[in-house]
Amino acid sequence: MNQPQVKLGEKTQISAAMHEVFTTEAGVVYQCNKRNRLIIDFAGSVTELRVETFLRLKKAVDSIDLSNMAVNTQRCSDYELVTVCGCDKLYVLTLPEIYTFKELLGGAKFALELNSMLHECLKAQVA
Amino acid sequence: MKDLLRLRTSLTEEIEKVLNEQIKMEADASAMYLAMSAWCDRNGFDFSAGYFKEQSDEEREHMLRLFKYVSDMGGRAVSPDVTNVQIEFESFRSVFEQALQQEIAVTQSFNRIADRCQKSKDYVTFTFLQWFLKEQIEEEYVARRALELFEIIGEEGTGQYEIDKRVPKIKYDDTY
Repeated sequence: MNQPQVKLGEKTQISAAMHEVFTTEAGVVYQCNKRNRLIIDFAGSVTELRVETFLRLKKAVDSIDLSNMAVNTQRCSDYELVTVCGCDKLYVLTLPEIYTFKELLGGAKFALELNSMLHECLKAQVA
Repeated sequence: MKDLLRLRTSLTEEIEKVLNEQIKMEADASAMYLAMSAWCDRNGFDFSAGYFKEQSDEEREHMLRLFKYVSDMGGRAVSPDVTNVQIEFESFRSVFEQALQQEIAVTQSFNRIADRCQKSKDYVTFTFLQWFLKEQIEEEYVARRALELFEIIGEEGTGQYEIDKRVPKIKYDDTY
């Protein structure tokens, strides 16, 4: 994908090099086969990430203690800032947003792993 | 759809994690041997100080070997934190007891990694581990022999001096 050929979020305009990896009501993760990148469309913004950065982002989001956020009465615990090296976006997320973000990233990771397994199985059959 | 995960690295997340844990274990062992070397030096056991310094260098080489492998395979090798290194030891003998325990722990750890590699069918890493598994035979042998010197020579009189002199001479004979 050479910088946005498409307006993400509108599936009809997704280019041939882009594949939908996982979708929830809150967002979509695409894979760009031209640039080997993952594109996250979430909370009204689009972020393009390398696979390694995507995995780091998932780890960062997974490590957020949701129950602590829920019971903590301090105002600063209403939001969580999420940023990782290699990602130029700073996510400022509320508790429900983190919950849905976790779901999106987790689903995308699962789909990527499944895709990897399928590749292995298919190649094993051909060989 | 392209397999982006495999393009990144051929190591699974699990194997990358256990290899990084082993990198840390080797770094800890290297630091511990260096501390033992310093303790021996402070207490007049010159030969053992040299022996533990060599052991420390070896452990660091093991760490770098693992580190290079993870990097070469496209994984993320993590330079580990080494903290809370023990400085004091109870006695000359206890230093060698701890060294042997450390080597046993390393062998067990490599066995566990090899087991995980087999379970996840990662035979590339499994083959890479063979060098370490073989190396551990020598490491354990030398550590055990050193400790046995305390029984054979005894610590009374000039015993500790004799033990200290004999320690660097222990060699593993890989004849067969």
